[in-house]
Amino acid sequence: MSRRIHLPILLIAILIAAISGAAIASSSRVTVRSVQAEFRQEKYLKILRSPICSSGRFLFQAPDSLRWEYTKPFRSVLLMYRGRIRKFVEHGGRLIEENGMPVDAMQMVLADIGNWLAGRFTDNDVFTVSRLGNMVRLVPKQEGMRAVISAIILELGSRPGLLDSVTIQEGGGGITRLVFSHARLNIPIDERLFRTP
Amino acid sequence: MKLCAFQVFLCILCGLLNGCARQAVVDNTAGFSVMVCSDAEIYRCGQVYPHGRWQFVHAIDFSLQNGRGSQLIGVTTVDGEAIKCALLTIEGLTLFAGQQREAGAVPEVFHRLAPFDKKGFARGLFADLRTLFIPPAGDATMQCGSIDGDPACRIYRYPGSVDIILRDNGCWTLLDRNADGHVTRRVTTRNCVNRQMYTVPEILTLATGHYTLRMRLVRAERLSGRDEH
Repeated sequence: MSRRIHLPILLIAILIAAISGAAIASSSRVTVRSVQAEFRQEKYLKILRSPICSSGRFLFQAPDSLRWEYTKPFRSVLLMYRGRIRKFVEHGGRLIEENGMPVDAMQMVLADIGNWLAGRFTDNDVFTVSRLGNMVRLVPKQEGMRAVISAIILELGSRPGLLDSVTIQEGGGGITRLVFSHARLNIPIDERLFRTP
Repeated sequence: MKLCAFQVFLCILCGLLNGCARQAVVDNTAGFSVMVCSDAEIYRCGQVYPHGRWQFVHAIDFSLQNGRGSQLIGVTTVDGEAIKCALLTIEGLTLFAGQQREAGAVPEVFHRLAPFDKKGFARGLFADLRTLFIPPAGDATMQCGSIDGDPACRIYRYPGSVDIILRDNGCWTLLDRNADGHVTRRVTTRNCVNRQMYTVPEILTLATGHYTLRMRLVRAERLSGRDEH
């Protein structure tokens, strides 16, 4: 498979990370209706003297609504609502919808949400999944995808249903680490937040 | 799996960075009145470029003339004539990493994802970065003067020249001209702060006839001799 098709894979990885938190909650006897948290993203590269930091928040509403939002250094919003995925980026001071979201790949992930929410946190079409203690490791099955993302490591939090961090290892050696904070479980979320940026 | 529109857009971006910078955005060879250089002009024109080893992180807003655009995060390390660069998506995915040791040298690419593996992309990218961060090399000579009433320095290099127009607010405008005197790249700056002999702009805008890069400074760091970057 060509490497060309994998540019949006990090978005898929983020979706998995966000949804996995809810899945883990389900498997630990907590019924997940919603999850919301802030995150800080740190990017490590060999060329970088110190990591690049971004920040934002994510909101998840079972079964399939998601808002993944960066607030710094850019504003960018990924929305998933009833199977429809849209991404908005700030351009010229306004949020503009990006066309051409990788719907095929997203649907592969969406197909697994049901399994994960039922606590069946197992292999899927995209990743091989293994778990050791509080660490869950996702390894892309396809070689072409591994050249871009070699592994995603989820660190489960001490509180059921929440993640402490997600580490995304790139095939080229870069590392992206997402650390979550101010996480809240099962707090009602306004549905409009999943529909509009 | 079909190619998504975003990737088609990136292909267009790569093609533009590859080829379009050679085309003129404006012909403005006239209007430079030669004057004797003052110490202040020599000093300020020298501060347009960083001295020593620096690393910059920019949030880059890319836009085409038709209004379409995208966002990237750019990491640039300058060390004398050498430049290292990485381009990332806002989600953190590395799209490109490479270096060019000196002007005209073949870029060395460490990492690239399609369509940033397109032939000529790296060379176009480093040409843009040299315009922004590296003074003209070789046997460059400088004249002082004024353009539209503002003090200016014109640096002659082969081929072409660079005009640096000094603004009242401490910032500057840079016009990169080809051998015919046509401006191929125009750089404007905003919110400039002087740091260690370099006037660091918060906003750098590089415009060609086909695309504009608006670069907002996230971080500027002077690197010490111990930093291996």
